[in-house]
Amino acid sequence: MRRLLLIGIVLTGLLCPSVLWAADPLPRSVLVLSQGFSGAPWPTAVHQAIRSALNARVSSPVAVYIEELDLARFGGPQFEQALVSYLRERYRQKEIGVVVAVGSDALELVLNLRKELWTEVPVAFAAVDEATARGLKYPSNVTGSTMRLRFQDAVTAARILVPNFNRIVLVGHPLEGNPYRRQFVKELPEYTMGLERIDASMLTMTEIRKRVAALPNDAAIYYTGIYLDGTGRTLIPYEALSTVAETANRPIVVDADTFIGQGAAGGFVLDPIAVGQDVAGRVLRILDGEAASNIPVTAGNFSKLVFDWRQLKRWKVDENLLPPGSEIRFRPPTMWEQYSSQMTIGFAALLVQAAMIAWLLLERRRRFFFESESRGRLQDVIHMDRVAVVGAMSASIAHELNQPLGAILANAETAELLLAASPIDRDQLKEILADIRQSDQRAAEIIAHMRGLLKKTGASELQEFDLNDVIRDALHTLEPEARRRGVLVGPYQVQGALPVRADRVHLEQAILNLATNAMDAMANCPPDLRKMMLQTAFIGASEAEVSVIDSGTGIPKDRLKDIFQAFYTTKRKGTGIGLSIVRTIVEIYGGKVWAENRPGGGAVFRFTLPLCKAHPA
Amino acid sequence: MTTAPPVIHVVDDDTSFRTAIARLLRASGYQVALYESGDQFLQGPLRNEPGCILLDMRMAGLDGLELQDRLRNLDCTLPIVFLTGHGDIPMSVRAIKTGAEDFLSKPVPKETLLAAIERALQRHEEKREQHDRITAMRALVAAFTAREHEVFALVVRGKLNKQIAFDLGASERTIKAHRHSIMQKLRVQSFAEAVSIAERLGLVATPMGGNQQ
Repeated sequence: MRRLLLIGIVLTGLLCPSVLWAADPLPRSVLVLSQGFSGAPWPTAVHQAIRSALNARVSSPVAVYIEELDLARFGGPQFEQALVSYLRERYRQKEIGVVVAVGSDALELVLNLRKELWTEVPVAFAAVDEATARGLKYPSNVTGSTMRLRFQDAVTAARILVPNFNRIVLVGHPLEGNPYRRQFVKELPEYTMGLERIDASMLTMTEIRKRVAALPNDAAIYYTGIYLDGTGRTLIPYEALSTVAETANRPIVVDADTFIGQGAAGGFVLDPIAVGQDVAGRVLRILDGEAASNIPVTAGNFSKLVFDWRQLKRWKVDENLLPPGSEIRFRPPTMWEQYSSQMTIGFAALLVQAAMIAWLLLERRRRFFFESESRGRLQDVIHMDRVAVVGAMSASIAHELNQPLGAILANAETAELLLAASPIDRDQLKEILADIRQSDQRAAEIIAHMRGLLKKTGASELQEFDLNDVIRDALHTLEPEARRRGVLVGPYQVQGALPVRADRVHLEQAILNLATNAMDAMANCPPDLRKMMLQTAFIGASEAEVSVIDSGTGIPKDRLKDIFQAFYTTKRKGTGIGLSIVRTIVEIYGGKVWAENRPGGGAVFRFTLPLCKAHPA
Repeated sequence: MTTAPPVIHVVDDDTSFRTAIARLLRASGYQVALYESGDQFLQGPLRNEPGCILLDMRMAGLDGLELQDRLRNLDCTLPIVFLTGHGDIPMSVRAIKTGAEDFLSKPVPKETLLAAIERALQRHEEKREQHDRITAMRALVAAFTAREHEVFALVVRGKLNKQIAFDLGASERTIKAHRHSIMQKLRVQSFAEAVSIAERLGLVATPMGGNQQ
């Protein structure tokens, strides 16, 4: 255990030369002495960046005190003396781990203060102009980064903003008195383009505004900050920029991040957050035990190219021509950025709706498809049954057809004989021809009717007709078959017109089915007792009833309900389809079908159909 | 026998066919009588003059086969030719078995129809002649006396005069005289001819049967 501890200490010593300080950790509190005034945007942004970077690690918070000293307007030995006493009193109870100086003047001040106050406390600095820093002699325990504004950057930005750029107009405090920009004086001769300097300290704001409103169109304004005007009034550069920009007729290039948004078009600007984060990084290293003198002073590059979207529009600068990596601010949020959640919900709802509609349409299509398919199947089955019914009567139909054919043949042969005779009997020939025509028509009618029955229809052909007509048709079709089977078809009782709406062929088929069924039921009866009757009647004012009455054996009571089911049959040769087809047909047209036994023997099959015109009761 | 042409009785409930067939038959030289139902045919006078019946198989009311039945019972000799719109084998077999002359399907060609009618008429003629002969024979037999009837009945059964005389309680000579009279009345030369007449008239069931009794 002791050996392990020893090795640990040796290793720590090898890896970290500041192991001696580490033994006595610094208090985690930082005093920021800033040269800005309270509320100055750029320094304030730096302070905030320092504060948030120092407290990024929640586990080890750092207390941050900020003193904004307004060194542009205050200074001198007495001020410094008073400041020392003030700070000493104020921070008597507070141990300070690191002093941070923000700004060149602040650094100079801190280095002076250290002679009396916080002598051993390490110092980190930020926002110190390179030129100023070069003139300083750092004591030990001081670190930081310098920064530098370059006139060339402003020229580059101006070229981007003004295509035919040929003239730069410097608006601001004289460069010589500007702590961060005095080095421009040396750079200026390098540039051969036109240069105009509007010395704000010599002019009133009104005059400045007039001057910037009348610039040639190959010019760009470089705003370097106005602290004082010609009347001696102190101005805040940040606010003065807005006032100037209001009347400026050329784009304004700036070099400080916080000027963007005040009417400036853009430029390479110093980023206060990057500056603050740099110094905060150094502070943290010191607080973690590293010696400040071991952290080298470096020249930082905190500039980035930033533009104001509104100004780009105003000066008609194509965004696509900006150098890659340029930051554009104040772009109005797109609909999407503004209402992304609402739009997402909206689109999602729309999508869901569209999907549902599509699904429903698909379902509808499928249902339609299957319905029409099943309708087609039903039509097929009905047709098949009709073919079967008609087929069962084929002998009678052939007989029926052979009557006129026989007459035609006999007539034709007679005509031949008459033509061969010596006095040609023209009158009889005429009669013969008339009879042939009549017989031919009769044969054609039989065939047409059969065709009508056997024709395969795709869908029901709805038409309005008198139900009695269909029954007469059916009787006509049935008659030869009834005769063949020795069934007496009783007189058909008509009861007024029964207008119904249906497919005629279907109804005739239903009646033929019932009649065939009735005749089958009488097959074993003595010939004199084979009687069948068809009747129609009104049921109330809105329904017609058709009855097919036979004198057969009747239906066993327990089977009255089954007989309309498909494939139910009592006949040896039956398919069990006929009556179920009758029910299907009747139900298609909104009716009912049922069977009863007659008291005197035999059965009655009845079906009803709705009338399409109410019966005047 | 060259008096009137034969009469064809057409029984059919289909007016147009009836009319057409009547025309054809008349043009072919027959007399035609038309009936629209079997009942109507039965109501008319039943004649056995030369002719035949052209009968529709399937009719409302009395159908063809039923009419055929009735006519047989009424001793009508007119031959029947059946005509049907659509015949099947059982129907035709039944018709022929019960004595129909022919069974034709509509539409029937003229040659077939006329040939069938001619055959039927021929048969009818033969039947009629036979019928006439028997009637004549019956008339001859009817002229017998009661004693001659008794003697004839025994003679055709092959009995000897002696036996007959014994049976009837008469002399052999008397029997011989009766026999002679019978031969004269029947206008036959040989005794065998007389036996043949007896057979045709059904007075002897069968020669064999007589012997057995």
